[in-house]
Amino acid sequence: MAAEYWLYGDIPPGPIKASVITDIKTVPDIIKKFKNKVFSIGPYITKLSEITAPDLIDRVISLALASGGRIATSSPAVVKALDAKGIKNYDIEFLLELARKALKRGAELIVFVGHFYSYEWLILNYLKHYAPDIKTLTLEPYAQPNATWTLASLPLPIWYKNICSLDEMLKKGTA
Amino acid sequence: MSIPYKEIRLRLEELKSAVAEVKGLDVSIGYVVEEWEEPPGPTPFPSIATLRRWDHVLLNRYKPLYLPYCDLCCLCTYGRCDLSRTKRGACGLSLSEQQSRLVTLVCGIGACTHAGHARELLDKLVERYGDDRPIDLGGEVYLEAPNIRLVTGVKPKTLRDLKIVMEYVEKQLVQTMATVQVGQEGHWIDYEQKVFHFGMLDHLALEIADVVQVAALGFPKADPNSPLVDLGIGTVDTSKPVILVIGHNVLPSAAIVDYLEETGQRDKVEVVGLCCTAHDITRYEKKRAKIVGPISWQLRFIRTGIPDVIVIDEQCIYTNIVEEARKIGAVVIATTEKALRGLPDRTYTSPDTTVEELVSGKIPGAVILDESRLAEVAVKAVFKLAPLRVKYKWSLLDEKTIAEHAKKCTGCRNCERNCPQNLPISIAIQKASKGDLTALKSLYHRCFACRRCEYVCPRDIPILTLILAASKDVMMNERYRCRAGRGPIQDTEIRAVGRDIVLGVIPGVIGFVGCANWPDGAHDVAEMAREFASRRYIVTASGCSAMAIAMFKNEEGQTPYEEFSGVFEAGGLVNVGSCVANAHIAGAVIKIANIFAKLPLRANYMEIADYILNRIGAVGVAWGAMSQKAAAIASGFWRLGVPVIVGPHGLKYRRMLLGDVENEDAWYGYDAMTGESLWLGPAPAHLFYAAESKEEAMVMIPKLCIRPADTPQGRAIKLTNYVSIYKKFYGDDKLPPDLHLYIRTEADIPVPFRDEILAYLKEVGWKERPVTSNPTLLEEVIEVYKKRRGGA
Repeated sequence: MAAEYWLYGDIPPGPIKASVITDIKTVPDIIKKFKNKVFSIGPYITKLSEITAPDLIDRVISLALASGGRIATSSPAVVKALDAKGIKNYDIEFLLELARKALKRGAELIVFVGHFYSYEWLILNYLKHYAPDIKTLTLEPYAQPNATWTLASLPLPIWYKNICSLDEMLKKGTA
Repeated sequence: MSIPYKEIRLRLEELKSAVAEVKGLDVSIGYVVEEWEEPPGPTPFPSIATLRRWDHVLLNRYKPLYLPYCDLCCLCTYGRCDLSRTKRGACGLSLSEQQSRLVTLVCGIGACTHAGHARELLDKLVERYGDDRPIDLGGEVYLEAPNIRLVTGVKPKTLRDLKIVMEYVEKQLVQTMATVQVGQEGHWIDYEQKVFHFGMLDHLALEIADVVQVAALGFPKADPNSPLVDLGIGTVDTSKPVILVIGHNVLPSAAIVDYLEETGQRDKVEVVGLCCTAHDITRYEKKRAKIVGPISWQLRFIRTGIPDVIVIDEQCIYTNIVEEARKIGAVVIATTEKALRGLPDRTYTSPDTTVEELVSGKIPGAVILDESRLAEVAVKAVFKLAPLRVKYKWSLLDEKTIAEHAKKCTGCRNCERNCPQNLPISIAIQKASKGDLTALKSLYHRCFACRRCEYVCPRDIPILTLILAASKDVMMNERYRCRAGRGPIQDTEIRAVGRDIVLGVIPGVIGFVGCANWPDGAHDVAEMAREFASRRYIVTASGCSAMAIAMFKNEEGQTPYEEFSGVFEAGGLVNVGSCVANAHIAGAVIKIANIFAKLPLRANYMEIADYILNRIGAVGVAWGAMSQKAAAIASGFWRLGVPVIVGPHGLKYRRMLLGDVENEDAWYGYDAMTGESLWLGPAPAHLFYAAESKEEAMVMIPKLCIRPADTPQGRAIKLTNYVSIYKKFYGDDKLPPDLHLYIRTEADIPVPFRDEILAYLKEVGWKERPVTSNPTLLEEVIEVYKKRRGGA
């Protein structure tokens, strides 16, 4: 990993940069701090699943549920998985519309995973500048420099392992 | 207003003086705009602020959502200034204002590019065919150049008439571009207003460019049955010398074809094109020239080693093309002043000397600005080079060499991190190192050959070359049929469908336009086009998207152009042509307002745009929008009241124009007949929207085709499509969460889902809403209706 995580990045951030999470164990504490949470699962999750593990979508749903946040997704595959599990408490929502409405709805934290990299980069930059009261956490395999908190860019197998660990930690925390 | 009439016209029936007696004297200096039967409209030759009121109406409804791509400004020496959050720059601009300034700049670049293209075509074709060349766009096109008529009030009959419009466009471009200077414009809404102005000017430039080439070069004239032409790398006959033409300006390519014909050598040379020049050379030659593919096929094709001579004109050409050509022993001929690429000028050198220099490798290419000379050089050079270059043709790496390169990979993932598409390159390379090329091959359709992976690879692995080598059989099998661009839509076609479009019975007109920056390959565009043509939308296409649509075959082996008719009708698939032919898509929408609704067209922009926004269910889809030109084209559609959807990369245009669906107050307008203030509903919901996925776009398309004026039957048809597509992706038990906002009365409910929707409406506490067939956002239109009713 480079000295600064965004040096390998596609797009350098502006002067306000994300805090990089180097230890996955700190993530549950961040999530727990907030009451009104949205967990946004993007359509890119299916592609990540194809190249990491077939159970990735289930893992992400599991950790989203354990986080206690409202799940919002535009991914047909995620909707299908949620329905298969009999989960009713989720919204089918497009990220652009979610971001625009987030402030009005009083969201405190939005957690992102499975979104198209540059699309998410820009949505995060919108939130960073125009809705600074909303904190953002990205759980992507690549660092997102415009988030409040981001995971570092990591090889996919390590990233997947982290997602699984986070799922376990959150489940234990909420049990 | 900015009327550029500079003519003096003196007509005297009879003059008697002590000196002479003169009869029927008619003296003209400068341009004369011919009168036409329609009375002059309110806004001929609008200047920046003329349509400001309409722009503000739109912008107050569809407010910008800014997505800064850069938080700093470095455009002047006060800076760099940090504009984060509430900070302002040294000049006083906020982050929002800076974004709108940048959008203005982007659209200005695009509009200037199209205007530059139009100017070159106009000047050269006027020089060749004369001022009096009539604008004949086909027997069924009586309303030529609807954009020009609408904006300027000029009814062009000959190429001469286009000159005054061109001059107006150029003057306005200069005035509008000046607003980007530091300390000039300072409020977001007025910057955005200038974006719209650039867009409108852009559409005029597009129309001039395509009208002049259709009128002068024998392109198909509004022909729904324009010929099917070959498309794809696999269609190129590599046993012949190959001239590749790239860009947007057809004149150099046309000169090459003419020279080949004149010298009786046409059958001996392949002339193939990339990007919009490819569309236009097939419109020029019909059947013989071939389309290699969209802009993103440039490096793919060059690295196959097939082209012997590469002729570039303007716009969207890989800037490092000379270096790429050199690697395969090909030469580059630059043909316009706008893209010289550092090559030596050989315009006035003897063609034989230049050919010798090129073939011997003394120069990697040449600038030749004279079309007949460049044609001669290109043809003579291709015959001499082709035999020397046999070893390069299809000289892609073999499997063993791929594996050798792949073994150098350390798995650092620099390639992936720098890939705009986030492609899993690293995994594919590692598999290739073990002899498994399937993952590498699977990247081919999603990679647009930008080469960024190669630039950052610390081990100098030629990643793109490896992807291409693994995909050789895919490329060889790229054999498709694309309908040659037909140009304008016939008036008779508009008459046949205008009513059904306005009533909503035809659920919408969709334009698949723009570049090749597709997030997941060309296939998605074809899939969307097929889906909506099958649902009886009118599907139009242009540019690289029109090519993408061709790159798909159904179970019977037909491409969409073979599967669907080329008529502008429900279920038709209409390729209008290159980027500049986008004017005909806008033109078709304008024609509906004029021909079907009989609204005055002449310089009557606001009323027509208001009509389009409220009554014509049209939407543009630029799924791979990449360039500044694409932004300018989109902004022209916004001002005209047509929403545009872009793919995820389109978010990089820095701002969206989104309606606030939950804000009831935002959706009021008027009944133009009664003047009554009415809730019109969020239709269309957005004016500029970037979808993250194909599924999102496909849900958004039918939604953005909904209009306040839909009849209950039309609304029910539109909602049937909206609901059924939503269900297709998200499940049979789901309904769109905003569905209740689009149902005004029970008559709007789609029959196939009636019970389910009624139950849903009860659940959300839905109440009936008024329906009007005469919605407007403009108080002026109420007055106009009153006057018309009074016979004024």
